[in-house]
Amino acid sequence: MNTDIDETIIDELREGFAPAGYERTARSFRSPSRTPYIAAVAVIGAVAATVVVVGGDGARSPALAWSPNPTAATAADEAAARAACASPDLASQSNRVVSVQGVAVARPADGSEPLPELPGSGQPIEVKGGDVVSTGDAVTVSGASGSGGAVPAAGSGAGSLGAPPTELPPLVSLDLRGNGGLAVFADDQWTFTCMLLSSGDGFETGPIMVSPTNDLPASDTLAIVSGSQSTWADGRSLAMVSGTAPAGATKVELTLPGQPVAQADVVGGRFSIWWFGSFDPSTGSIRALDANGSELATVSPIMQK
Amino acid sequence: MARRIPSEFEAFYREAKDPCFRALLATVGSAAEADDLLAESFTRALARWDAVRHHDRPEAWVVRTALNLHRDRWRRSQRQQRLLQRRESVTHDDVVDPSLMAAVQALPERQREVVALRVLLGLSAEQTGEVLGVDPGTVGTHLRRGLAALRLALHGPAEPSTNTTTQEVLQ
Repeated sequence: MNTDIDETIIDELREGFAPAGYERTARSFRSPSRTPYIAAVAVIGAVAATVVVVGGDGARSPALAWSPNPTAATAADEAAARAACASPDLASQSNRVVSVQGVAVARPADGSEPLPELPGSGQPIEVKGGDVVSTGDAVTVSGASGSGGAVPAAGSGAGSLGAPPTELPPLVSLDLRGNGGLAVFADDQWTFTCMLLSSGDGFETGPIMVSPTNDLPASDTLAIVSGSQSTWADGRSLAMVSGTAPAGATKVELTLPGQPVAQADVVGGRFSIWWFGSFDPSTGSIRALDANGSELATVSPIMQK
Repeated sequence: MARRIPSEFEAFYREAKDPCFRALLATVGSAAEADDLLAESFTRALARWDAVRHHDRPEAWVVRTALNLHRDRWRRSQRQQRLLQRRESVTHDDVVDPSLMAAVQALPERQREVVALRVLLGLSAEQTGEVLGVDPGTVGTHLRRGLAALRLALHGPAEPSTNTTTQEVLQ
């Protein structure tokens, strides 16, 4: 082996790659080039309806605040969101998360709040500290209030997929607005939807919903693929949707009756958005916009069947 | 309860992010892909920081996680592969000289990984072997072949003149 040549090659490699710093491409976190790892929750008309009854510890947490425009999430935000949602302290945060056939509910660890009744029944799955274990207790559920969406049929949920993973899937989208956040983690089988409250440099974890995932729309399509409704610890209703956007879309604009027009960033063809209020998929509209603000697609009502 | 990023992790991140990125860029050949993989692997490192911090080279853990993610991606559906291909058109790969990048990308995958981990991330043969699941001797073989191939691609055939090994050069 020729030392001079080897040194030359090694130096060439090091010098050649030296300009490639991570900070240089950090902005691409918010560019449409980021590829989603995901398969999503459900197709239009078969959207998983979720009711979450408790989030966070309202007695000690600052009030959750909302804004119509998102705050661009940084890599640090994404790291903090994952850390919070996978927190080993989850069980001590007065949250307990149970998923039943794609319908997820959360309740206080002390059991002071009864589980809501939702359609169907199945095997509940308990999430503690990022670990998911089957509780073995059947939960009967009925009546997903305000959802309007169809609940996945029996057998399409946890029971047929086995236990969800013991770690969070890749991050699909992170919607930050006000002092709250909605993080969606998903892989081909499972979707974890995690509500967050900003706190210092990190987040407090609100409810985490676990549901099975189905295929995304076959091509770039403006579509809401999951929607849910919940109640924050202070009693206010929370609604959230996650969806796909066509190529070239950088934002989506959500218009709902009685609500300020809200925008959400599109990253890797995916978006998510949360707001205070109810979730009625038979109303409202959503538009996909390109970087110039031109409309690429629109759907009205937001969940067409 | 607030979840803060530990200062120790922040220090590690500042030190490791660029070498990790370069190693991944050389391995996967796409800045956007490397960027994506690194974001995910760093977030996982943070989530498991209590364990990862005790690793001999935490950056090796990060890159190993990223490489595993990369392999998982390519095992996914055709739809997602199409998404990956579409993204290639908007990457920022011009930070590295195209001829150098082309030469690196022309290497067989394992040689490319070894060169990236040994030369760009600065791992030892043992650490590289641990990341890739091969023994250090195999790492040395891949490194020698990889560097020889790069030498040939970038400078043409060369006349041997000494017996010093690649291992010694890296040390």
